[in-house]
Order: sequence, then C-alpha cells, then structure tokens
Amino acid sequence: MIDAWVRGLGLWAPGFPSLAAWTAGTPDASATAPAAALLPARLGRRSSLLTRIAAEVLEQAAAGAPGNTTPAVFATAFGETQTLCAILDSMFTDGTVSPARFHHSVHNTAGGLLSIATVNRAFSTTLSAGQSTVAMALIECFALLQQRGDEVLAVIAEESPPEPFAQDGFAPAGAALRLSATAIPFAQRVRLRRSDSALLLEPRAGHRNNPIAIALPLVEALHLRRAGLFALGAAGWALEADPVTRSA
Amino acid sequence: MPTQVPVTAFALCNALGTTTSRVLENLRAGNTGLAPAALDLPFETFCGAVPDSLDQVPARHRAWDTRQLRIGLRVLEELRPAVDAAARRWGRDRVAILLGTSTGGIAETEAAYSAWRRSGELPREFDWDRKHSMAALLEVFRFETGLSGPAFVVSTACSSSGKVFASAHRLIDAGACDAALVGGVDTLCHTTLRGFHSLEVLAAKPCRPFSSERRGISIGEGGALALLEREGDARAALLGEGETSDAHHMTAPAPDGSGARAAMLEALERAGVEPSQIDHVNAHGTGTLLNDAAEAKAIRSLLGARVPVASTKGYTGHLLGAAGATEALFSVAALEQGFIPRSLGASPVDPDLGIHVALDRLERRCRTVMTNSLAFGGNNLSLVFGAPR
Repeated sequence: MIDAWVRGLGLWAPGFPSLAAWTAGTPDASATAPAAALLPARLGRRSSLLTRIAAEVLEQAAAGAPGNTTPAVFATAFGETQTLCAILDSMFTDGTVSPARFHHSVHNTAGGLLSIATVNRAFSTTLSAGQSTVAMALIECFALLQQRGDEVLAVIAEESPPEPFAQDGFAPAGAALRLSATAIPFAQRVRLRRSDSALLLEPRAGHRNNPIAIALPLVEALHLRRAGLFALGAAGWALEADPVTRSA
Repeated sequence: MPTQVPVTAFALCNALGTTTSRVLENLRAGNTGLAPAALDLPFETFCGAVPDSLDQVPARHRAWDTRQLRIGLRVLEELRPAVDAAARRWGRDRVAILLGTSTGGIAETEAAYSAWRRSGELPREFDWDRKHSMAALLEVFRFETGLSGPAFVVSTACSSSGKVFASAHRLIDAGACDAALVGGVDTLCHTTLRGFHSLEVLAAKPCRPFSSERRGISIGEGGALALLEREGDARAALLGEGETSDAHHMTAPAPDGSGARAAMLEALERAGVEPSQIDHVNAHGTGTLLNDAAEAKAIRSLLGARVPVASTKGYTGHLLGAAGATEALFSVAALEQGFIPRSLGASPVDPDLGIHVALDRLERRCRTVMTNSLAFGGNNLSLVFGAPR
C-alpha cells in the first residue's frame, strides 16, 4: 500500500481537551465534555458524548483543511451505546421508542450529523472491528488515498457502555488523523505494514479496556514526531513512521 | 483505467428461503416472503422473516450464539467450498472478510436487557463482546474460515452491506488483499420495528415500492455473502461504486435526489459505463413516499425514463444492514440468469415518478445492472455490475 503524510491530528479524553494538553500530561479537571464546536446547537443538543467526541477530534485534525470535500472514515467498536440503552429503557418501560433517539442510535450517527454540520457531500463510512478497529480504519483510509488521492480523515472514538453492559469500564476518548496522499513539507511520512514485532505503545491508565485505546498513544507519538513501527492492536498491522527531516 | 473484480460465488438466505436456489426460484416466480409479523408488537405490520428453523450453532461457538450468527453460518455453509478454494489460491492472510450489519446481535441484547430489568441480573449466557459487539460475527467467521486478511464490519445503516463491495474493490486495487468474503446479515428485532414505527414510515400491509398506493416499509431479515477475487471465473463483475453523503437530514433523503444521483454518477464513472448502457436498476425502493420520490428523480435525471427499475423489497422486506448485499446479489443473479424481476406491489405505479417500473418479469440479457442503497445519515451507495466478459 502507498505512503501517506500526516497533515493533522486530534485527540480528546476526559481531562485532556487537546493533543497538546494530553502530551503535557497534567489533566484539567474541568474538561469533562468536548467543545464540539462543529455541531450547531440544533444538532449538538441531542448528540451523544460519542458524537461530540468525534466532532471535536475531527475539527482538531482538519484545522486549516481546504473546503469540505474530504472523505471521512469513522470508527467505533460499540457505537452509540448510551442512546441504545435509552431506547431499550423506554421500550421496556412503556413500549415506545423516541424517533429522535432511534435515528441517533445508528453506528453512523456521528458521520451523518457531521456531514450535515459541515455540508460535506463526499464519501463517509463507519466501521467496526473490535480490538482491531484502529488498524482497520487506517487500512480503509490508505485504500481510499490510493483510490482517490488527495486527503482522508480517520475519526476514531468510543464511549463506555452504560449499565448494565459496563463490565470492564473505560474512559470515553477519541483521536483523529488527517492523511495526505502527496508529500507535504515537514509532514511525517507513514505507511501500513503487517508486522508481529512492532512496538506496542502503552495506553494510559483508565483507557486500557477501550477497544480503540491504541489510537491515543499513536497520535501522541505522531504529534511528537517519533519514528518507529507502531503496533495497531490485535490484528498484526502496524504503522511505520519515518524520521522527519528538516528539509522538504 | 478502471479495474473490475469478478464475483466468483454467492449465497443468500432471507424470507424467500434458506438456500440460494430457493430464494432465486421465488424471486423469478414473483412470490413474496412477507407475512404478518410474528413478534409481539402494539401495531400491525408485515415482516420478511427467514421461513425455516435455523440450525443450532456448533458447540464451539455457543458463547457467540445469536440469530444473526445462525443466519450468517447458514449462508456461509453454502459458500464454504469457494472460500476454501480462495484461501488455498491466494493464501489465508490475503483474503479479507468485510461484512455489513445494522442490527448486529441486538435481538439478544434486547432479551438480556429485559431480563436485567426484571431480575437485576443479565442472563449468564449474555456476553457483550461476543453477542452485541459488531465484531462478534467477524470473530466467528475468521475462526470458521481460517481467513486472516483485513476484517471489518461496515455499519452505515441501510447501505452497510453494499459499501463492503466498494471497500473490497478498493482493498484489492490497493494491494491490501487479493480476495474478499463480503456481505451482510441483519435480523428482525423490536428496536428497528418499533423505531421505524415511531418515525411513521412502517407500513401496516406489505410494502408497495413505487406504487401510488405505497404506505411505507416492511422490514425483513436475512444474510447475503459473496466472494470477490482479483481474478477468477466470474459469475458477474463488480465494475464500479459510488459513495456519497446527502448532508441534508438524518432520516429524510434530499428531496431532489441529488445525493443518490451523485452516488450513481460516481459509480458509472468508476465503472467506465455510459448511462445508456445500464439495462436495469435494482432500486433501493423502500416504499416510503419520500425515498421513492427522491430516488426516482435521481434515476430519471441520470438514466432516463426507459430503463426497467425494480425494487425487490416487496419480496424480502427491507433487510436494513443486509439490504445492500442482498440486492447486489439479486443484480448479479439478474445478469447471470437473464431476467429482471417484477417490482412486487408496484401496481398501480405512481405516475409522478416518471420512471419505468417493471410490473412484469422481463426475460432479458442485461449488459450492466445498477443497484442503489440509501441510508440514514444521508449515506448513499450505488454499485454497477456487468456480465462476465
């Protein structure tokens, strides 16, 4: 598969409203919900935490991107679990399902709402692959870059399932990558490889049980311009990041 | 230069039958699989339920046992010789598994939640990762086939299992794999039936796509799987795909059909096919007022008023996450067997639509067939298949 260049990154986790805050390492206790400024009040009011995290990290990674035509790959292992449980609760209380909740329960809720919010009529998908969700999102991104050129956004987010399904709890979190098929001066070059000996980045405490946990230290490593072969979870795929040279 | 990907094998299971041959016999004969809903619901509706009882899952997969898995394994069983041959030919790590689903194992999640509400405890056999998670079906499919190429589920509501055909074509062209087992499985459940009823788009009687008397959708269940290979004996060829967003509304299509039209145009361009070369459209055709009107506008403006259009949802119901793959394979069957199915329930056709809806089965050798899937979130997919060269 082809090489790509990292043009933008995004991250949100409780206490860490940005990648810079995350890398600095000191949590901000007031950062309990993402700003999600891309979602207008009309759409944002009823949006789940998952959708707001996706909106936040997408905006961070896409900052400065021209136009609103970038294809987007959304990825979440469990999807809109808070909304689903609200539906189940009302369904087993009085037999009803709220129409607004119903259409906010699909896996592609964030993708749909954000295409509306940003008037992006381009490609959008939402995929899922358990512990391999991050790796598979990047495979689809690289295949899109090879098919279409230009740029692609990977928007990876997860919220923790509520009671009674919250077994091995984890903190909600998300990360995003904006990748380009053409060389960008000073941008880091990356490629996908199959490898069983790649470096396993350690997720921080509170995130280990999150199926997309690996996305957080991965974008952190790219933010710090680290070179290396980084494992992408259970699937045996890895992202190889080249050293960044000063000259383009 | 557009590439094409041979469809070398496929299998279907839905309200028309539990084997591919039975499903296609009923499609050709114009028989519906819709019947009054067997679920306990506070409203009247018709469903396309898989008609026969499904085998128990093997003991080794008991922890993953869901209706979705039972249907999935039923379809996989028919494809097993072809999948094994592809694994030998390309290598297990070079064959992907790309599946679409909207419901996943939610039927079991509903039952577990209900039990928890009554007793305060989840049933012992319920396992979130192995029953509810979208990846559960993938895990069993990987185990059963031994395939270790890229494996993911696309879940974009009603376009899910159509989009995996596009992903497979892209992954094969990009060199990420040489073949892909693609398709989708969805099951009937309370969440979708009650959810669509709350949106006031669920018909009380069998759905009537493109009819002036259409009153909404009927929901169905089933599975559809196909094998796409870099090279091979093609039953048909996947020529091109279009994937766009409406950016209009979460549930209502853009009224002018512009998002669907953009997907159809992109599919034609990627396929290298002129609009005049499309001989049949297997439409999304859900039977709602808005969908059929918007989709007809897109078809008319891009392909004209003469191409025979059929919706097969009057046979199977709307299979939601499994609809795209099911209708893609109905399109492949139309190419292979030389017939365009009649659009069940369409008479009298809504004259305002301005398209040619096939009211009778047409015996016809098609060169190319297009199929559409239009989903919540304004997620549009169009596929173009061609007869093998």
